[in-house]
Amino acid sequence: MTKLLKNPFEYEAANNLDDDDIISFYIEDYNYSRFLNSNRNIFLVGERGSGKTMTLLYNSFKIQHLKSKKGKQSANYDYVGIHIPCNTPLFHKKEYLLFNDDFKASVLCEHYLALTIVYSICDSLREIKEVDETISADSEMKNSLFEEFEYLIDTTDLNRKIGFIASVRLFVARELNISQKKINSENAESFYDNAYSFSSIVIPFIKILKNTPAFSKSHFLLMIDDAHDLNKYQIRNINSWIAYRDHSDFSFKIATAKINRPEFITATGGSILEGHDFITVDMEKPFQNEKSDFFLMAKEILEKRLAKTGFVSDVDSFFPINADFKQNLEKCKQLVREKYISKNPLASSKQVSDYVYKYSRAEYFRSRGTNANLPPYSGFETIVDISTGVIRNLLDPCYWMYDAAISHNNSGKIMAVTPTIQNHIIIERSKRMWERLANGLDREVDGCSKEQAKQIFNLFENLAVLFKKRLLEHKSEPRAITFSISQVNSETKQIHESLIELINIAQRAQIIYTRIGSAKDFGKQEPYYVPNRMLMPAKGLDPHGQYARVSLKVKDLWAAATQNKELPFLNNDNNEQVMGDLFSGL
Amino acid sequence: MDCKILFVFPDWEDRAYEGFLRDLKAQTFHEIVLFNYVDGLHPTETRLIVEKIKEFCLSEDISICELNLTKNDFISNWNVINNFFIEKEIDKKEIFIDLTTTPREVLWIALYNLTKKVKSITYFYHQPEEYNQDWLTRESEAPRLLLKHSGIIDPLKQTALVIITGFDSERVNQIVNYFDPKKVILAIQKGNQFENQTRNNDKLFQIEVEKEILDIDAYDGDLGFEAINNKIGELSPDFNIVIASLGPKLTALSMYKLFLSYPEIALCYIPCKDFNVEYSKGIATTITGKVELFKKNDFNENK
Repeated sequence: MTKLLKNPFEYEAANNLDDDDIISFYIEDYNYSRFLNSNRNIFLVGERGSGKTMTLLYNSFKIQHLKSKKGKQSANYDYVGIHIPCNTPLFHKKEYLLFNDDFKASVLCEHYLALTIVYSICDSLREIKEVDETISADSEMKNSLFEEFEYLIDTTDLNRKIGFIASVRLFVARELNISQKKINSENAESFYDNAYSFSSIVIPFIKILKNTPAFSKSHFLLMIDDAHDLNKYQIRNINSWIAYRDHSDFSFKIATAKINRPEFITATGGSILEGHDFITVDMEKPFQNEKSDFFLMAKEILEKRLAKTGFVSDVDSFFPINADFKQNLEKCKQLVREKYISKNPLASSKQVSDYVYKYSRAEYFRSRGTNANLPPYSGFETIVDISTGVIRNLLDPCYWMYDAAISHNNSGKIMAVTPTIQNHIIIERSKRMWERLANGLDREVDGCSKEQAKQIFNLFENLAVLFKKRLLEHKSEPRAITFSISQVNSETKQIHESLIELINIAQRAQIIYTRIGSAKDFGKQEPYYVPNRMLMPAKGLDPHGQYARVSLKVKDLWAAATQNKELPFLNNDNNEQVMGDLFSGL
Repeated sequence: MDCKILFVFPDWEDRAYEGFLRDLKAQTFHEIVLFNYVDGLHPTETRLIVEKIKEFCLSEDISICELNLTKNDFISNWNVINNFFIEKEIDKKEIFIDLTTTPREVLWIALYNLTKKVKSITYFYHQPEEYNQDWLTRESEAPRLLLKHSGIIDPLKQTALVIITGFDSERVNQIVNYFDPKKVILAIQKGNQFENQTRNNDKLFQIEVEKEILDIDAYDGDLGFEAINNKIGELSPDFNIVIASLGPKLTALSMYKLFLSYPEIALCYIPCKDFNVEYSKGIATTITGKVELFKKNDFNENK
């Protein structure tokens, strides 16, 4: 049964949602099925809150099977997705470090991982009645499965009174229990005698399942979640399995955060290669405009959630823009258009619309008096902007807006969140983000020193000052609010590394995101940095941004961080890079 | 007369040395085991205290043994402490521990070893006159599960976090983010000592998962054990339990007792790189008591 959420924008970690909620919340059109339902090994990369777990869970066999049942269709057994969560206390155990032997440490780590995979397969399949019925119906097949498993794993401990899958599940749970007790005892090394590996238990188990009629043509998707939480031995084990040549029966889909993304080294010291052994799918979608994937997905997400409250109109009606804000933006558009046309009477309509796109919003911000209050940030488009393309960041302000609207409403039912409430929540959340920076990220991010926290604060304050100057004065790209780092060479290598450390800390706190885009030179790819757009409103900046990024010298950025020096600003410098076609979303 | 050994881990605070003197007034010790971080914080101030203790022992003809640990190497500390207890004969001796400035992880490793050899320990804990109003700790590192106390994790169950909260609310948020639990129990110390109600208030904890508040009293005779014990009894059939002590130091003892009752729970420690040199001032009440160290299996055998 779908859980009754008091607030339709309540953000629950995907693991805490029940199956019906996963099906009802997930947006089909923007999922990654075409990547996940394949024989390829995939790394699914995205920041916390970008929907990795939700994507894996949605594509798991359990959910897909339920979805087919609800749609009165027969389940598709071609791809059997198995969700394997790794952020559990089992994977936080550190006893492997007590072995003075790298090999034994690796064996222990692989043992836990292999058993967890088999356990997850059993857990996913046992709830599906027809699977168990198919296997159990034929007593000869059932016996043969038990015998084969017992022979391959060298055990006689399976409980034959219950179904085969339920029995293997219990067996694995028991083996995990026993090995943990051994590891925690004085005689830790005794676990080694019964240690399992991917080859000794996972592959045989999958092959046994494939001998059943139900799964004879199935490909198992082993979906490992939160891989960034794994230790080096576990990662190297997984990489070794990724390098396994035969992908007919199974493949890996590995969800990981961008920061602390696992290395590519295998247990034997080799490495896996992008393109050859795996491909990477970046979950962070382009989000800059109303035609972009993220904008459209955001619309669907919010409308789907609103539909649960009985609200049937579009999300723009629920989150209306402030009328004056809208009117003034239109006026500025008109003004900018007329100015440009008067100076460039032969301009094409594309040139005119490009110019209007670049400068109309800037004109709005420039025309506000110096003593004016902050702009009345509101409207669905603004909400998408401040999400910076991350689903959790989309739902969070909506949650608080809805909450505030309900508390102002006696009837308990709302048809819209007023622009005033929207603006209040946006400013409040924005100020709160700056407070986090001012209080110091050392308080919340492990490994961040007090000094680094101060440097990060300085860096973002100076970036905000620069972006504000550009917004008010820059002749070319006034609304650029992302940046890339330039002049990285042998002289500046050290400060670049220290600067990246600061950015990584900020990224872990989700104050900034890293994306990859085309560099100026020779079409190479380079990282660029997108400060969380929720930072913009408190500083009176435009969270909408534009398709350009500011190229900042590593020395200047470092001086801004360490000496609180202002970033250099010239109102007509040519150091921006345009990030591709306006509506490509790249 | 029974041989009495005092385990002590002094730091730079006023109560480290003053507390030690009180310990010696309370009992006649034959031996002092002094733990010390060779790479610890505020080394000058700490070294002064350590030297004072050593001089005092020398003047009173009390045997003293210094056990050097490394703040940033928990594996080495585990091995050093374990090896010490393997070699040390303490079976027929009375064991006393001054918890006051002993890091929780070191305390638990010592208790792990002591549990194999003795049935109980007596503790001293010296409260300060006041705690720093501004900050106590910062630059916390990733939480870690104590070696050999990382629990028996059942893949059938989700995770519940039991956190004995303290004055650093950020560490609560940090540990919740790290473990991503299904449920959080905040065990909050009662009373308004040291402005506890303001500094250790559940409204400071920004937790978005299902949470429950549990009132405890670490200064009650049972060190808050019973309240948490009952809660763990409720949770353990359905949850893997990770427990962290961020509050009154006495709860580190009750946490260990809980582990002895429920060896399937995991003890968690959050190291911090920086402690305020003005962490506390002065010395106030001394709390002392005895803790039985029965493991679950021992209890069943004794039955």
